[in-house]
Amino acid sequence: MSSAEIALFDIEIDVNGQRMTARVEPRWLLADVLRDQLGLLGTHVACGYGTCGACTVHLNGEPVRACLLFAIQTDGQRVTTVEGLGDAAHLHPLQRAFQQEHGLQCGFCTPGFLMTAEHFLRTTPHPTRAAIRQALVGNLCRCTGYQFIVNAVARAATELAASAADAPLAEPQDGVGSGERGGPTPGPSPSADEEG
Amino acid sequence: MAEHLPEGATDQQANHTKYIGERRPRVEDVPLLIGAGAYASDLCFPGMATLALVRSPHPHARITRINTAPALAVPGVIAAFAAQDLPEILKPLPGSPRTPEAHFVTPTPLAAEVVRFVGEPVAVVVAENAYAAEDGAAAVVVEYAQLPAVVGVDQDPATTPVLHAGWPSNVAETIHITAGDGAAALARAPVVVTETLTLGRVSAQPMEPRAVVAVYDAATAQLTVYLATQSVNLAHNGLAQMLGMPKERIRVIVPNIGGAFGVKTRMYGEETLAAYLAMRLGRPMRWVGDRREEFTATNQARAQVHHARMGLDTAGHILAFVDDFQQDAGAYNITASGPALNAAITAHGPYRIPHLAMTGTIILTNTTPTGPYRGAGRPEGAYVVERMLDRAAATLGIDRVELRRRNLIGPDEMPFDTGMKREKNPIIFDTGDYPAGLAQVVQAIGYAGFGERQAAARARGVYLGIGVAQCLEMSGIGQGDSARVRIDPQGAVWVWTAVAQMGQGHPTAYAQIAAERLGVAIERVQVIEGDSQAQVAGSGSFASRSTVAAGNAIAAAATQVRQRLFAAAADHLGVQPEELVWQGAAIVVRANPARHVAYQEIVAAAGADGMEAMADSQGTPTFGYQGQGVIVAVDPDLLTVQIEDYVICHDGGIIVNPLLADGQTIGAAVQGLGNALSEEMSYTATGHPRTTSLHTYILPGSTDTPDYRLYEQHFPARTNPEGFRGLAEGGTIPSLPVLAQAVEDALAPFGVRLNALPLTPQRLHEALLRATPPSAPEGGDA
Ligand code: FES
Ligand code: FES
Repeated sequence: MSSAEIALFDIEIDVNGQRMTARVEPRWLLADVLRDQLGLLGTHVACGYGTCGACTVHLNGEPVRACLLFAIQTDGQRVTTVEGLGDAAHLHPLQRAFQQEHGLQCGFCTPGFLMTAEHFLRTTPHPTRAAIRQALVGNLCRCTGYQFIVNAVARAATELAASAADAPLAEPQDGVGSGERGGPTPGPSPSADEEG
Repeated sequence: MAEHLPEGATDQQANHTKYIGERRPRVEDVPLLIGAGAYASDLCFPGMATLALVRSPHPHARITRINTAPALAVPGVIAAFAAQDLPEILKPLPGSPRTPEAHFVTPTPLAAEVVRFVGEPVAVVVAENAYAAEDGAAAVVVEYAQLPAVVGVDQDPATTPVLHAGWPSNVAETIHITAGDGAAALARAPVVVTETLTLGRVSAQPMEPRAVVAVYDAATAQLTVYLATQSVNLAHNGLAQMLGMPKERIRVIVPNIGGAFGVKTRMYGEETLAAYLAMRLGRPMRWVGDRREEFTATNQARAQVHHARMGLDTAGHILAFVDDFQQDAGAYNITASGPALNAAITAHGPYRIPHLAMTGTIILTNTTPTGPYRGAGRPEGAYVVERMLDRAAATLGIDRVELRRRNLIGPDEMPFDTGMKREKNPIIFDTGDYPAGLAQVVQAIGYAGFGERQAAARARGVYLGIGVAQCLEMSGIGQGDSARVRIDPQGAVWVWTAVAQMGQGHPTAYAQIAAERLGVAIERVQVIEGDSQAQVAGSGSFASRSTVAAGNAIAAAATQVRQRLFAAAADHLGVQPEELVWQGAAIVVRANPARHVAYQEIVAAAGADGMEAMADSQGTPTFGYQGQGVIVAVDPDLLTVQIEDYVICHDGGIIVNPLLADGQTIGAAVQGLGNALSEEMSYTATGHPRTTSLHTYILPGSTDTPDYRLYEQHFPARTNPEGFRGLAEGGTIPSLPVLAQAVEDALAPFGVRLNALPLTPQRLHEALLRATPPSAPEGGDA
């Protein structure tokens, strides 16, 4: 048997600023093409039907679920994956904050959270803690219990806002949550050492 | 934290950098953050083919015909096999009964004649990619003759079909945990509380579904299996047994694991299929499960019904605790009786219970097998004792917290011999101050002033409830482990263990242990896990045992290497080893720091191999206190439960890395929250699973979960040299009873009794319908 019996189509996607081509079946999902054809393994598939957010990528700057899009739909579009966020030598402030705040355990959900959070902080630079939780509601994590992920996003928001304030031309700021930065302190939860 | 040196710690340890106890971000995060973490499903080899399984849609049926030929007509399909095509591996998966009397049966990789649960594999399709493999699986024709399905543990032996030939009934085994004479003490008790308590069946649902990749090199006759497993050695032995191959021809490598929580401990058929087919077809084989398979074909958990009786005196002292419970094992008792034993022991709780008799019956049904998952019986046991105390408090008219206080074991009673035995080993609570822990929880959650707050809220139509529950987290059970530590002439330190990391942070935490006990800079330490070729003995990562078992072995091995290093340095400097201390990368004479030598020089002088030691730990359990307090707001119309505040007080013994420990506690607590409020594997009366997607099986999300407030106790465990306690399950254990108690308290004006978990809106609705408002006299079980 040969797969030649199924029609294949050539597509061209701008992935993380690079022009990439692939020959795809129309039914192949964006997540599978990113992983199997383009070798970008950071986009994880945990549910395959749009519920968990692990496969979140950006399509023309907006978060989408790579398991709910056919790759062919992204022909000629701009896709950003977690690999486009930062690399080992240049971690994005969100990536740094996830490490510092222990916002990941197994890491399988992490790329999806990062991509959701990056878009969120771009549009909501001064979020409350509740707004962060709300923004992450479409991403499931089975390991962390979310608290440290929220800590991480809060820390990154502070850092990004500080560097934006330093920059001559700050991004226009969305009003959501502005003026009441933080909510509970973004740091680790209070721990009282008992004698022992 | 940093002041805690275990007994016998030397000056040498005290004098160099402290790593144990340091709140330290993880070294292993960067690849995971940039999308470069290699999980099993990320692996790709030239010529790799993909497997898809054909699974039973029936809970119980005889296979009358399988025709795999239509699959071969699907473009991209390479081969397709039913059980009879694979006689070499048609044998039961590894496992053994706990006792010779127990009935025990594990499944074969593919079912040959009878299927016993929805999701049991019956055929396998090999294809060029996952799309073709699934099309091929859909094309396989399987005809079944349905058999009556057995659902639930309440089985009439006269009429219930028996699942496995040669068994007298579906009862696999009955376990007993006793102290004193439970039945006699119960008969004498002036007050007896009786209740039936049910724990729904849950599913672990790690974000990464199970996955395996097998690669066979025909030239060297070597098979390499990349498997997301919690136990590299169990998998290595198991594959050798299943494939009938000598172990030296098989290597198991554990890639990054995307969560496991217990369900990746035992072997599954897909692993043997991938390995066997890689050899038979001469191509690398990959199987990556999907989310539905994670719901039907991965072990589930809990699923217990407890018939409990607690006897007390009129002052509220527990005199006897008797519990007959049933564990729904699913279609195969793959894990023998581990979770049932854990439940029975954990049901003792941190209380004085002079007479106790727990009887657990393990019963098979036509459902997905159950096995260990986060707590593995411990949350079930805690649920039973804590809820019985709630009932006893109501019956006696004693405050819930006060009743617990009266029965708590005091610090002056430590170590406390419970009188219970597991196999032949006595269960002894090693150390702790439980009353102080409870006091911390009660104070932090604001129990004292809560009554007024609750009344004021009720006046506004807001139903607040408070819960306080506790447990002892039993950790470090099982065999001991080994670890190997080597320091090489370049100064690098290598640590090998047999445990597996699936997000807990071993590469960081174990480097902290090795660096501190050895005395070197942590940056020089590499932790290597999950490779059968490391040839390190140990049973793996489960039951919160890794840091107790492997951590102690690492500490011991690192200490041995340090002793050799110091002995050689002492020779070199012409002093006694006791006169030496670390100073950075140098070993110096304490009284005269001008006399020193670089450690690498000493190691290099020892030879090209450097210095190496292997050490073992003992498998002695330790018991750490955990108390939780929660305030909930329950909407009696919408039937939602909102967490207002949540505090946890936890005794993790010597904590290696508080950041990671807190992460484990919170993550575990959220799994408990899901288990308590929303997660349930539901089956129809005919044995068909209803909840096979994330749309119907509801995991907690970011807006369902609180910011936990953590408090800590640090009583070093007395049963292992480093004083470590396991802590990955403690967060889950009391969260089941504490949430049930709080929700029941919130709905007290309606007289609701909540005996069954999870507290889904449906369950709350039914409980409200059944409820008798409290003005009516206390009735029996509604
Ligand atoms: S994998 Fe795409 S949303 Fe779950
Ligand atoms: S870190 Fe494991 S699922 Fe989120």
